[in-house]
Amino acid sequence: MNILKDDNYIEIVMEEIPAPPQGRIGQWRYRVACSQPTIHVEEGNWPNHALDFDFDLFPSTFTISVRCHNDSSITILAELVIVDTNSHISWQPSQKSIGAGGSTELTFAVGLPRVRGQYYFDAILSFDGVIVDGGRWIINYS
Amino acid sequence: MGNDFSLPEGDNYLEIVMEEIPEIANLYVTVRDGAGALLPGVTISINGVPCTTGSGGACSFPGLTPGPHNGSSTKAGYEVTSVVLNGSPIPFSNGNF
Repeated sequence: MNILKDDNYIEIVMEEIPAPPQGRIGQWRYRVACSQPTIHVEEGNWPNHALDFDFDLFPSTFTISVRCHNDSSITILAELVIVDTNSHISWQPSQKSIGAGGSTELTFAVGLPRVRGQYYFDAILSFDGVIVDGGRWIINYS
Repeated sequence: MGNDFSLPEGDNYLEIVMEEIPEIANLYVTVRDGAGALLPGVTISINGVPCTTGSGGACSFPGLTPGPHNGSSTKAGYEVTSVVLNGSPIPFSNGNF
């Protein structure tokens, strides 16, 4: 800024930054069941494929935790989408395989906008390209 | 303004030294929140010299040199949304202007 000689007056407006949502806002617990006949499973019985999904939202990171309790491996394809009135941001599907009794996390770094408003966070879970579940969580910055 | 002096008979030599008076600029800062209320507890820095606004949301920086200066405005949980210098908006980024 350029200050002139003698008196100068500057007025600054500062607005409170909306607090980002803290902690868990939703929990998505999914258990694969026999009612998904289109899902290809190489071995095992579906009721024994227990997959738990904890959908946590922290200020800058989405994490989907997946645990496989069965003795078969499975491939998880997850995609997160942020939709608001001005933009639609999506990530390329992130894919991981987990083995017997293993667990993994799919983490998405998210630049949360510091703009008041309502946002929808969509998560889609699919196995072998077949969508088996999805969820939407609404975040309100106010 | 002058002083009286007397000259003796013959030649007299007068040497005068004059220094330029530095131009002075004063900066008066007022900080408000989005609702227009005066905002205390804001740290204003001009060229790295800090001042914290009191209940009147004001800081002053007297004795500056006219010309370009760097300023910043910070308060935890707040962000700068507007800066107006002498009635004209000026650019800012991340609280710096």
